[in-house]
Amino acid sequence: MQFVKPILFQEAIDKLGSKSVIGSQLNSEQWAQIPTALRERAFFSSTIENVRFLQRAQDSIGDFLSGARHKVMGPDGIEREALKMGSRADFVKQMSAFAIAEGMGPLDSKDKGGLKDITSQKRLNLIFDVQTQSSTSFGNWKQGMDPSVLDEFPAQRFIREVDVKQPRPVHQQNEGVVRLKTDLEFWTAMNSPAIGGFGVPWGPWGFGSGMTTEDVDRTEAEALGLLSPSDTPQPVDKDFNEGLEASLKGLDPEMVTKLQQSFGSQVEIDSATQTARWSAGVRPSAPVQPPSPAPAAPVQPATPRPASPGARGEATIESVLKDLGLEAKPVVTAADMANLREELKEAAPAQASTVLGRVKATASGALTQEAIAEHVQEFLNFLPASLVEKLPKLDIRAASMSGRGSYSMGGNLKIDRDLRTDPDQARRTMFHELMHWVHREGSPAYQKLIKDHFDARTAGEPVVHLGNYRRDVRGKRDKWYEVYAGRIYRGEYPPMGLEVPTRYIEWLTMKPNEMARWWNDPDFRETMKIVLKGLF
Amino acid sequence: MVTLTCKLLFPDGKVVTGKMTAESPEGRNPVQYDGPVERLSETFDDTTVASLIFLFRDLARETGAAFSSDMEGEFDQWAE
Repeated sequence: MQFVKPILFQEAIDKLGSKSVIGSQLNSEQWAQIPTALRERAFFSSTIENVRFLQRAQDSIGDFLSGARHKVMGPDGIEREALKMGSRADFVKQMSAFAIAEGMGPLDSKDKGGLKDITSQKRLNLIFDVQTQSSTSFGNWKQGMDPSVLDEFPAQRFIREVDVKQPRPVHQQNEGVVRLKTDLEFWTAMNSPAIGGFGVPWGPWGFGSGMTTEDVDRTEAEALGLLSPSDTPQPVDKDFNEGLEASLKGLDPEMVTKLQQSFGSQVEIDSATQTARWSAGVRPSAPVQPPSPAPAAPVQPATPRPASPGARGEATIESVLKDLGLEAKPVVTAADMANLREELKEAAPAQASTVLGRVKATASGALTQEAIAEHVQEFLNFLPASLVEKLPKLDIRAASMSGRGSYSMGGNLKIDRDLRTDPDQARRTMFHELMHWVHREGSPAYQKLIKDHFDARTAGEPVVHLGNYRRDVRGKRDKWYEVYAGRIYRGEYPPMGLEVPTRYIEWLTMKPNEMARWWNDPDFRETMKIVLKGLF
Repeated sequence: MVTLTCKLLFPDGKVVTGKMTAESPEGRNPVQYDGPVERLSETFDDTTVASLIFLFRDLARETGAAFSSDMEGEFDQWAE
């Protein structure tokens, strides 16, 4: 097979989306001292502390790279699809207006219009160019590491793309040089921080370097003696990424803390060796937590929520947390969680018998008629009867299926009959599917709440394969406690966050000590509180 | 089937691992621990994949150990 040029560029979009936004007063020289392993995963701009601005810039460049579109109303009153960010000029115009609105002009008027002026075309062009070049160059490099591409085009030539006023001597010396793509030592040297580079084996090769690369095919590479016909070059992208270890020695402790907070669980800090490494990363980030909770106190009897749906008054998740003293409690215990779970129960919930339509159960185990009714009742106990009244009746079938459970509109719930032998998972799966029932058939206001939260949490993130799930399971990873929460189904446009309430409501089926561990995580708690609003 | 191994590397070189296999992300599965587990303030005898990773990360913060994890394979089934 002949490869001419890679077409898909998801890698470039992924690269941009994987960067954490970090607002900081650091100037470019100070940023250059931050280890490559950290800096390379940060979306920052010299001396810019405004995270809103940086997030907007990252989102806009992401829209540009992904060709994102939105509906706009034309002067003729007809709605049309248009690119959200069509060009660098669009980016400069929009971000300049945003920066001005944020009051971000230069402190010194003599800097106006120059690189120190974040509202200037010059500075915004530079941000756009570096970020798009960095993302696309990484995408090129990553695609070049595909074993098939690497076999066909094992090397690349270092060439000058643009004449510059002050070329770096080491670049001049190596213009036209061909090296294997896997020669990390050479390519990283061409981008060494010592010559103002970025410390990675892909471009851009430093600010204003004017350098780029072009692929060299196998025939030429063999002719140059870089490899023999029997050689099969092995990708080194994983080696490079895994080898990125940052020494934190000499870094300002406040900056270390800020980086750690910004990168969250993406980075593992080893305090003993003062190094940071990138984690495999499946769990959401969490700032450093205080020591583990004190031993659980006996569960206190909780005051039940008012019996009458109409008499519930102003109760909200916030008021419940406040009443229990949990709103401001830095570290909750298992007993706190047991109390909260009790407090979330209705005094007069709807009865399962009034909700259940047809039920196809198993003859024994955790999915008998009685067991299914018990699972449903346990879930209903958390819902106001007035809310349940508005939902369709449930048609529940325990059947052989490829998944563990599924929900389709109209109250149709299926659960894998194999779960009859696993009561805990049957219960958890029922909670999951019943939450689809509440979310998708319930209040539009709640759907909007979830959608807005999903949008806010995942702004600028690319849609990617959700690792450890089937290849077609895609979504936005974010920092969900379990990656499936970010799933976006095929044809789901705009994304509604369909698996956010379902995955998070499973928390109510955990043991209290596990519930407490999760609740003490700020990222988890933020989403959980929003999901729990659906129970009110 | 997913195989998960979580590891805590302590400054003195001691290592605690927690290993589990899981067919689905919702299933609770037994955890096999190895190493000086007494150093941990809490362990879960059985739990889900996500909770085991979270527990080890939390424990790393509490103890000053370095955390790493390795998860191989794909879930066979899950609640959609």
